[in-house]
Amino acid sequence: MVVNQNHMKHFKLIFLSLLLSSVFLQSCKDEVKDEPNPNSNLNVVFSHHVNNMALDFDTAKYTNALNQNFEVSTLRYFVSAIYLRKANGDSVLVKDIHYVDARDNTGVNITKQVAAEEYVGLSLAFGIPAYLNQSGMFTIKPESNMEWPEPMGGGYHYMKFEGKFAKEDNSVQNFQMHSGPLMAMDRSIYFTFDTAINLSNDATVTINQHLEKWMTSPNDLDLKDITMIMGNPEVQGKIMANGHDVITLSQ
Amino acid sequence: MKKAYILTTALFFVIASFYFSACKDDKGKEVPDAPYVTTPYTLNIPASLLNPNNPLTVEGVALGKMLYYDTLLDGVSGRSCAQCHIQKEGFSSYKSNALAHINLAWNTAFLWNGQIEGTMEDIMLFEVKDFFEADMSKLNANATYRDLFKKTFNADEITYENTSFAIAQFVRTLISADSRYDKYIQRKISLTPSEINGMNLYYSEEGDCFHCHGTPLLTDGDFHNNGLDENPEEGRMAVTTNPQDRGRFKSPTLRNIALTAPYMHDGRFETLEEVIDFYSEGLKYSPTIDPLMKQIHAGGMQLSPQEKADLLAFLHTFTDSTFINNPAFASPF
Repeated sequence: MVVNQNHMKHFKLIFLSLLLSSVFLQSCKDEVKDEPNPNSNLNVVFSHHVNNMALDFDTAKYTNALNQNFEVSTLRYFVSAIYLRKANGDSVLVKDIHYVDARDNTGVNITKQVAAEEYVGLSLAFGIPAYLNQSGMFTIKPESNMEWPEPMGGGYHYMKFEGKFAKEDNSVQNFQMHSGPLMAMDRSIYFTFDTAINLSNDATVTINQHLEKWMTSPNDLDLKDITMIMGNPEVQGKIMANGHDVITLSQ
Repeated sequence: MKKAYILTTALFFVIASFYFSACKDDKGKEVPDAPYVTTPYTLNIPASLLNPNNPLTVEGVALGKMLYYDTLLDGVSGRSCAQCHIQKEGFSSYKSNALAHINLAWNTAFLWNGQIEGTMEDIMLFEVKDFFEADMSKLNANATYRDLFKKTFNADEITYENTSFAIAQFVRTLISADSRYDKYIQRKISLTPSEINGMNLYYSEEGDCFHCHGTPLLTDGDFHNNGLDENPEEGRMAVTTNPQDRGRFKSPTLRNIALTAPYMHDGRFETLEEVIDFYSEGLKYSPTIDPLMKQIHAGGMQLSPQEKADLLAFLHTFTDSTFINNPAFASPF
């Protein structure tokens, strides 16, 4: 077969063009590759309520089970061991120890990248379990200010929930619901939510805290008695018992 | 003569060309002076408390110390930082009631009402520019400082910013952590029975000093209305405009508290005994009283004379003689 030189040159050019195009298109293909994202963002939002209303600080509009009118000035707490659970029993750690200050919105959001799949639930501990609650582990505030004194067992407060309430004579008194590991006893409250959480795409779960529930069920707490309670194992135990329904999960 | 002239001229050009060639690289571009190399200063504190834009250097800390003690900094009345922050008085001063410069590296809001928020550099910029109204022309006219700023920051000009950076470096190093209390925590020494009783009171809910003066810093760095007045001053409210902040002032550190009289934001108490009496039976209610003032309804903790003596003894364990005698913090002049 006779091929003249012009044709040969023409074929070479076409070949070269195809080669370059294939390389170019290949690199483009890599960039726009349409594979599913292996990860999704889990957003965890911490939300605070009293009497089914969003928490509003410094306003005396809330009522507890004993009909005491109270306002809230401080709500700081730790949540720990936040895990997503898979159907096969595996767990994915979202956060080991997490601090929230509801007043200045510190820590009211967590974003965690996790494998994009369906999860069957979420678990957490309110407070800090004993195996994690080590004195001196926080060296800067705000977490360090949650210190639980060494003479009372050391570690860190679980919660500082403070405010004021009106007594029978209408005078105002402070209350301080401070819970924690008195004498190193683990009084964390463990929650397990069996709720499907579909993370094939980014999703948000909300951890709701219902503050009035700290004061009732099974123990109706008189706010007059919720002062200087850190060293009182009986009151610490009652708060822990009341905490069983304080947290709910919503999506 | 003509030959000599030609030789001299030629020699001049040779020397001149050699001289100028030293300022050019191979391509004929001018090369700036090599920057001064500084020596890193190691400070054993959490990295997050350091400013990556102002890394500590031996030169920077030394320069900051000079400026701290130098009245040249004051553009108006010849004051220095050290006149109101005296080392022997725990870097505070009886005459000025200035907050002590102790462990300020952990602070994020400065002054009694927290009007300056941010980093150590931010508060020092405020001090240099607004408090001292430093005259930069005076500093720039000083050959020693010009040389030191050049060697520290490679700066040709002394500015408010690099001056505050140098002072911030020095003040970051003012760390007090070697009191008798610290040694007790480290199990190196014992405390007396009275001091132990005072400590147990301090860390109890009955005494409850620890909520505002806890952690190794002996302060929460936060703002509280501790019941000084029925009609308190604005305090933190002057900054936030929030009425709930009326009467709230910063909790000072209790480190070296026995040396840092007078006490409270307005210096109303001259002795620690007066302070203890106040918390024992002198509290006054106001609408923004801190919830942590648990015994406000009783006017205070109602301590016995022995409890007061024990608490006072414990407060004295916070005195850090290493800190107040450390030559690294002393005047370079």
